[in-house]
Amino acid sequence: MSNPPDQSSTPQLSPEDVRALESFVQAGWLGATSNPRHARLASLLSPLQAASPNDTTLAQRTLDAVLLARAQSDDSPDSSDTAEALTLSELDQEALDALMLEGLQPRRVPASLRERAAKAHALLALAGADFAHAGQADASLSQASQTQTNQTHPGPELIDRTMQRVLAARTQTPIALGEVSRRGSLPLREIASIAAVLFIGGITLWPMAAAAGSARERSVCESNMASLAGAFGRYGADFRGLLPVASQPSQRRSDAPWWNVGSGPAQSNSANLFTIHVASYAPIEASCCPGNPKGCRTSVPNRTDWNTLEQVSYSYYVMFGERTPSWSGESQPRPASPSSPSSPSGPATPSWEGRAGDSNTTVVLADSSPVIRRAVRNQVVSVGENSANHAGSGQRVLRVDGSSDWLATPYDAGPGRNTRRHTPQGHRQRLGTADNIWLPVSLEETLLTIRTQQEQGVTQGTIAIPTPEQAARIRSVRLHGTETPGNVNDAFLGP
Amino acid sequence: MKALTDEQLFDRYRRGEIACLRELIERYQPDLLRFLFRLVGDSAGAEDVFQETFVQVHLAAASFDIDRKFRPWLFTIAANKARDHLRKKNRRRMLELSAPSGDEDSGSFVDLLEVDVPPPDARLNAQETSERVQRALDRLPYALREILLLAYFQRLSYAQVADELGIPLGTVKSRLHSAVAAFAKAWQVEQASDADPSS
Repeated sequence: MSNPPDQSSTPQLSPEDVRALESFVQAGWLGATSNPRHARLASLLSPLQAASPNDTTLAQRTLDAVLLARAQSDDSPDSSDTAEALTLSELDQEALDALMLEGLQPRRVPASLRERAAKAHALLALAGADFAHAGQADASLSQASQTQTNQTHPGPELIDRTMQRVLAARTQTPIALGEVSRRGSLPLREIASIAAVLFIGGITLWPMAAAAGSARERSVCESNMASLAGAFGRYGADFRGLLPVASQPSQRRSDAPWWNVGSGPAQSNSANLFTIHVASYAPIEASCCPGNPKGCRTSVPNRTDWNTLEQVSYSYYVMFGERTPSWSGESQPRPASPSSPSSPSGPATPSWEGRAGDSNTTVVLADSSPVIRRAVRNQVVSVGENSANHAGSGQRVLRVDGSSDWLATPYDAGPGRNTRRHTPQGHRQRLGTADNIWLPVSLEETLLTIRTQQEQGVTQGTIAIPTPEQAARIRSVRLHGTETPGNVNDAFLGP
Repeated sequence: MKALTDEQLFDRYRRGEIACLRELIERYQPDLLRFLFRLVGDSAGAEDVFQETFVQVHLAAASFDIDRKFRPWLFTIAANKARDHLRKKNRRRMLELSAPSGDEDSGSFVDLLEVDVPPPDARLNAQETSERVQRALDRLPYALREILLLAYFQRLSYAQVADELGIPLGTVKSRLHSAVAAFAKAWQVEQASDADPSS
């Protein structure tokens, strides 16, 4: 390792002089004299041009000063440019990304990248290795390494000194408990104890083992929703209350379903939710429900979307309608997407149906929709089905006003107005009086009409089974993945 | 107290149980001191920054989000304190001045498979290897050294590192790519100089 220049014996220039000298040198030592610093440098350095070939001391010392000043300047990008220009091969980059994703565990990296990931891990481990402890096991531990052991493991005296300093600081500046804050100011923690009581009240209806697992998963999802609510809030603060969105609806092909996860930001609704992870408003783990076996462990950060529908744990408000609710709970016309601020289509004209002052509590996020998963596979859909995330017991939802609820059915009558048990009779009663979070209002109205006709027929004793016309109509009621919410109060989530 | 998580301990400390902070300091002393030693390059400086870190932890206690992990928060504070320390000492760039430039060797891409790195569980000559590692780290610009060590010690995903450092996720990735490449190359240089003492 070469010795660094001796700072004490080397003249130093101000950053302005360094820049002036650099441009002066680059111009072949013939800087424009209109610049006062150039003129001054020209004057100062003129003896160099006339100096004998052997007299290089001043020039060398001046150049040393330039180099040193450049290297010492925090603002100079040059000092790290060379190192930052150095990068890994493409495969090594992939391996390192995969290693980071897997929590620095090379054995969990796909086999094709594992060897490279192991190398990257070995390098990182080398940088952070505890040589003192490793060396203690070595019989050849030298006196020198013992010295280093003492240096990096100074023992309890450092802890004592640290405690003394902290306690002194504590005396001067006590912790203001009233200011204790939490990122993502959702009232979820405040209702956690209430939720726990509710759970205890309902536990007699559940097998104990299933309840324990379910409680854990529900707790994680509750925590996740709190994190995501915080992320929505921060995103909204940055983008005028807008919910996370990846593209303008005008960019979407209207005939292609938005439930095709991974099909691109303009096409996939999950990409809208993924935006908060891409833009670092929330870690990807906040969108992982432990009740979803595929989870999102295999997704690759910095992509625009999850890879498959199965990896998506939470269904998000379908953001491809003309109106979307704003995080503050008030409607607003969709401004240009943050990812495409100069979209030629421009913002839509505001035309919210709600009354001014109405409090919007639309559900914008929930455990994954079972309806979408069946519809994608062209399977028979049961619109009253609960999310599979919690073994069909219900779903945790997040409202646009930042509050969160546990819904025992997919029918939402609003905060505090939901029944906790799902029965077929209750299902019929809720149809028409509550919002099915898995369906757009248009389909809900169609289903209500059919159901009403059926029930009228049964009452009159004229219709025992659906007529062929009704059957055809029922068969026509299906999701295509191109539907959008009817209005900003219509919760319709997917995928 | 041993059974409590870091976050629980810190929350208790915030509410007045001073012994909980001591437990946290004891838990983190080995890792944090090693991290700081690698970052600032000398043990005395590392100890100073270690103490300043926990003072700052106390001063910022009210702002800590108890739903988040304590470890990355602690290491982020430590990294900031280390940066301040080095700035005061005005020595960080002097070390880099002696570092080889990126084009000293061939090409700007590093292939990790060509780098001879001892596996993490290898038995090494502690003092000698430690010094070589430190010299290799000193060859890295501070930003790269910091991200390299944070990536190892914080044990966070890219998104979490970005969140903690307040820099774009893409920057975290590209910086870590560069950091690993630069460290690999610096390590190669150290090995080469070890093989050829005359150089």
